[in-house]
Amino acid sequence: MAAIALRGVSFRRGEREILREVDLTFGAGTTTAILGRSGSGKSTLLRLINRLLEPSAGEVWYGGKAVRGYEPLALRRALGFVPQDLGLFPHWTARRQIERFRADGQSVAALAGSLGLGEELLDRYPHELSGGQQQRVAMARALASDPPVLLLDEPFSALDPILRRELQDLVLALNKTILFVTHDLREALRLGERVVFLRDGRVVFEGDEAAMRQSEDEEVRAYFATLEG
Amino acid sequence: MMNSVLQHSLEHLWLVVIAVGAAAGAAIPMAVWCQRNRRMGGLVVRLTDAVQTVPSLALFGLLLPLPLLGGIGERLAILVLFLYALLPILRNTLLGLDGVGEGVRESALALGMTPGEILREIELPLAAPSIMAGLRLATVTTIGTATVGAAIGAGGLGVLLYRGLATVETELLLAGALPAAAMAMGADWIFQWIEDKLSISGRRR
Repeated sequence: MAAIALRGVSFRRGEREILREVDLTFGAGTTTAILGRSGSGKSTLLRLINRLLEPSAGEVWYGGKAVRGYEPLALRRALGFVPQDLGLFPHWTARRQIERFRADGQSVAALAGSLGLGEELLDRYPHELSGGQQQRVAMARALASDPPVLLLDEPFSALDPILRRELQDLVLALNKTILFVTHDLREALRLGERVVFLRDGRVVFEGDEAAMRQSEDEEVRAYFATLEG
Repeated sequence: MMNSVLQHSLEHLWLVVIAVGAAAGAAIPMAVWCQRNRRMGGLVVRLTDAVQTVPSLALFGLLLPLPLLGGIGERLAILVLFLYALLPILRNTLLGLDGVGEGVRESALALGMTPGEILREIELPLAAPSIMAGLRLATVTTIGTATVGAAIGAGGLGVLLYRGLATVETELLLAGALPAAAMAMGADWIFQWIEDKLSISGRRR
């Protein structure tokens, strides 16, 4: 069953066409890496799903219903989102960031613990946490409402390789429909059962690693070249 | 003498509290509106700015003929003080709201918070130190400006000052000037204390 689908979706800002007639389907429970260079439209694509942006043409579907038909707040509670800069609230402790979006009676400590955040860190403010700990808070906050879908916009790009791997493992262990934006092929292949490759707002390639290795596209090949050497 | 100083001080304080209170009540929502309506908002800020450039005595003169609010007395003085207090509060609140990162706003929206919740739980608390700085500036300057209120019969410490000036009595002058100065310093100190409290409770960036 498809959790999310984009049908002929375009997005333009002024004269600039950021996404052009994108058709994509994301199956429930699958993890998809959305790969592409800066400005290829990856982040825009995520924001069209949770309606932070509205498409100029086409339709986005979630759970068999056009996202336009949802009340935005209800839709967003079903779609966990972690942006690149995390967007943590500087005046709230880690505990409050998570608790605020947690259903009544559900434990904050258990969720935080499952993401490797110890009890002793929960009463700290974001500026008192390390980069990796902040990432975990942002993940816990996105997961607080137990959404079936998780939208991740390059959340680990600022981390060192060891922390990055730890957090990737946490993502792999989640039982969610995950859309993961990255510009790192290694990360895309590690996390994504399927990779969607965007260039200039168009889908250039979609498929698994084996199919991707067969791709004739020069940029896709160039990406693979980064894995060698 | 002591009695009259106390009475005029209380009158003075009354003028300031009402004027700054009303200005805060108007300027903070105005700032929120200006922040969301950039183009019209800029116009509002410039208009408030223009009011500030009119000398206080001239403003009394201009507003005196106004029906209901005009006329000699306390009401007009409060109106003028209110208009002067708008700008520092408006500007500082706007500054504080602008300081809330776009990423913070976006993630609040993405988490399903309503615009009202974002304003109450995120934007205003983050802007609080800046808003307090605006209130502080407005209060301290209004304490000074309120002395002019005596010119239109609004009472306050200005009464003693004007009387002292007219009769060249140093004692009377000081009886008006010292409480006003003390009041301004006291207000400054109280606001400083509140600002410190706010920053201790973790509202830092």
